[in-house]
Amino acid sequence: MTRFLLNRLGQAIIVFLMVSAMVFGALRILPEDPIYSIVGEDSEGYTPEQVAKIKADYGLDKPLPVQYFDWLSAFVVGDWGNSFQNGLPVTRMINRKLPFTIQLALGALVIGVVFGISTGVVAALKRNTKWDAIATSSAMVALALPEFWLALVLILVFSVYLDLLPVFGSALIWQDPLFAIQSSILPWLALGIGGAATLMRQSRSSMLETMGEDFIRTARSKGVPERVVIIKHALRNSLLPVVTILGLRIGRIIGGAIIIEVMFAIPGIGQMSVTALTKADYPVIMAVTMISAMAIIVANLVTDLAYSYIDPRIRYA
Amino acid sequence: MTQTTHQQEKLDVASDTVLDVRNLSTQFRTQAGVIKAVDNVSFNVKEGEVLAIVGESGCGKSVSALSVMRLVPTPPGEITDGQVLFGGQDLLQLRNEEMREVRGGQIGMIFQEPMTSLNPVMTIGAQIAESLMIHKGMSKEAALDRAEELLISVGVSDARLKMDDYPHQMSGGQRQRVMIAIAMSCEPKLLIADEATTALDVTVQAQILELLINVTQESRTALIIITHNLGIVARYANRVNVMYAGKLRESGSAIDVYKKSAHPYTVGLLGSVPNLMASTEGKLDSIEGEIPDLSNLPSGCAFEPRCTFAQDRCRTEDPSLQAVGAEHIAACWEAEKVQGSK
Amino acid sequence: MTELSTAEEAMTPRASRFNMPEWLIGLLRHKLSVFGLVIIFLSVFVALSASVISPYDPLQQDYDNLLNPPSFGHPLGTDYVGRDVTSRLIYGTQISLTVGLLSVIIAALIGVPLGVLAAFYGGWIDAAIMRFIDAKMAIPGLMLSMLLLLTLGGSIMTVSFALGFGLSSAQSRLIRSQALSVKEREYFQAARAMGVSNFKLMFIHMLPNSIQPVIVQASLGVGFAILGEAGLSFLGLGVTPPTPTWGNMLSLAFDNLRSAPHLMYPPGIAIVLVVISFSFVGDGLRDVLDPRLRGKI
Repeated sequence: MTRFLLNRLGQAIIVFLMVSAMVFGALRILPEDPIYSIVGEDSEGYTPEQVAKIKADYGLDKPLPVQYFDWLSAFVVGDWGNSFQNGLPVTRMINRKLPFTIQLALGALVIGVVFGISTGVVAALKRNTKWDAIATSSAMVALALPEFWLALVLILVFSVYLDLLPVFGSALIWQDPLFAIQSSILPWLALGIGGAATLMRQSRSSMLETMGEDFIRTARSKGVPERVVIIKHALRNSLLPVVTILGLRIGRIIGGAIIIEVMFAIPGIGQMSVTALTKADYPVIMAVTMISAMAIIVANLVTDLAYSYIDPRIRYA
Repeated sequence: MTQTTHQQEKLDVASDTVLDVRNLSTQFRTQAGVIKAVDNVSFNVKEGEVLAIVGESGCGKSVSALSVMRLVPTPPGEITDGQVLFGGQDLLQLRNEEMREVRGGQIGMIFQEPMTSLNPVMTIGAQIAESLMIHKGMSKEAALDRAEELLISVGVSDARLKMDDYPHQMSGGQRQRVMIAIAMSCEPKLLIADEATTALDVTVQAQILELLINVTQESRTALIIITHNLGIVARYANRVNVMYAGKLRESGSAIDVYKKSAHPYTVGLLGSVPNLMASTEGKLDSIEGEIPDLSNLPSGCAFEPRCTFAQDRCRTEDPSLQAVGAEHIAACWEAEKVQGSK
Repeated sequence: MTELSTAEEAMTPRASRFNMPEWLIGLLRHKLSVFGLVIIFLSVFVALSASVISPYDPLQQDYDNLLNPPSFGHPLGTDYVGRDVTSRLIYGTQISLTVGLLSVIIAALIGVPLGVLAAFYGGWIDAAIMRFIDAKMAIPGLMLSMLLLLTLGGSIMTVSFALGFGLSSAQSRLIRSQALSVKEREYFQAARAMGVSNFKLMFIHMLPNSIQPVIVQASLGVGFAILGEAGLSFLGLGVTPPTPTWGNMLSLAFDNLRSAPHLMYPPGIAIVLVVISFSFVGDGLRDVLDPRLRGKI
């Protein structure tokens, strides 16, 4: 078990290094010269010498591998550099914006898990009834919905026609709970329904498979009440593939959060990354990518741990 | 089961009869048509008695047992007719909640696949204790203590340690011992073992069978052993029922069925037909031909296509069960000839 | 349109590996797949005959008819510079289908060889390839595409490459796990023992026997790619305007949400229909080719 963990941790570190090197390299071939975001649009007023001086200040004149190791050694000790656009420390920008993204992503995840698993289980238990048909076909449609179109529909219905919920503006839940929830409902739904649909399909098929297993028959032959058969015996055994999907879902949610943040004007790191990308703001892009990558890597690690928690066959392997 | 038959007639069942199955029929609706998996089958089993139900896979023996427990997957399965009298009531008329108390509480069941019949994510101890908590209302601690005693009684060594193990950490034989502990935990009046030894090694098979006999004889629990292997149960069974294509074909004391077989199928199961591959173990492949398509049975005797005794009459008329000896019945037009051929 | 026809050519040899009638009959028995196939054929027809069937030039601006609701002259209305939405939708079909198919082909071209190589060689090559794929998957797909597009610029080819690059991870993993099981089979071991070259082993023996889930995944992938293209266009990073795409039409609909809500329906519904059709066909293919894959893809 410890060996397994150390092994996975080692892999995670390798993956982290590869991601950082890949993104670092890719940024250097961006057509946009970072000098423009450093000095602003009126770079005409600078002489080549001045430009060279500025580049040297930012370490942009060094060979690429040297730049990478400079960045990496600073990054691991928490010095994430200053934004090219406004000179602010990247860590401070992240501190301010990350909570919004976390609030968005967690809400979407909760919606996905709660709606997805519950409807999936109910659909499996009521297989071939109209409830199953409704749940299954809604999930099919939801999977084909682009998040932003769903967001448009939600905005149109709940904000424009019914005028129930605000479109713009956002708050953090521990600062202004009421407004935070009001303003987050639509983004949570827009981002969460895709996950709910995926999880619904997975938990339905996995539940159906488990309910046909021999040990379910054994439980019934013991006189276990059906409710307990479902919750205690079937659900836990059905969760393994569901957890896999959930782990993969984190990446989708982070990606989807970018569009949702732009649409709902949520000041999170997704929105920040769009601006940073168009301005070739290397330190910000690196920071955002690294945070996303870490979130995904950690999610994968947690998935592995959850596996072994759920399934003793893996734990003792 | 419809409510119209709910009026319970006087159930005159001999006092020591534990289970009395009368005219049981169970069907499966499939795309290929309706399959009569169990067709008008009657049998009973008395206190302390060992009944073997024998036949090839697909003959309806397992579905009979599942019907008694009302565990036939519905849909596609459905118990269409009959009575299952147990403890003075017809199990088929019970409400689901009442039936649930019978299962595990008064009838225990063991299944074929020890690999898959235990919940892979629950400890052995918890799985045994579960029955006790449900039917005996025990606290978790008391149930776990009792579960450990039960594990010892079914011959699991290091019972205390094994309590916290998961099924995958045990051998097939040990798992089947655990299944026996679960099934016997609430001191049932009847234990049904559905191919309980089939998936095990030959040496382990004998041990598990001995254990089954021992634990049930001790408490005078009636035991139904369902198997395709007539050879292995002949020694232990008081009575033997032979099923083929959903119907009971022969029934009698083990000695009669073994020594005075009245149905060619029984003869085939015993592997003693001279012109066939002789096998004292009664292996499946000792009978030529295949099990008929249950959704499209021939009009006469279902065994006719494989039968060496078949006559013209067998192709058109399905024989009913007739007495061929004292407490010995068989469904064959040529029963006398079959018995004479031994 | 050249992209579309090359796409079709590239699909044909793979499809012909199967006993055509059998899998086709199976697929036609699958009702939802038939629905999907009909929608896909219809949209291919629309895309191919766009210049004939579209009532207007999709780029023709008309300042007398801005943000018109649907009318007889403009069945789906006009956008903020008076362009006919119907015509833009029809031309947008070309982009979406082309990008969808091209992305999947690119994903297969990148993903399949990587997966086969990893499975065949194992050891450090496998580890390196798998970590590379892990790394790729650790960057959210949209960010990866944005990064690539800002580097490469927005055209049908670059958008398809960006999306296909992202989709290739799933392909590599699938084919690797299939190929690993092929590696254990007798016929493969026998071929190896007979001294067949590594290249032939990989691409004559291993690949064809592991390709089925890739085909299923590819069919589902077309849908993902169309969604991805729409998302990128929505952020202004897709195929460059004024070329009409479903994504940039939605982007304009968002800008004019209050004044012209009718603009959001045509591209949105078109995306949902086409994406769902590809997933129906994918489900059908999976059931026909290998029912055991149910729930895994």
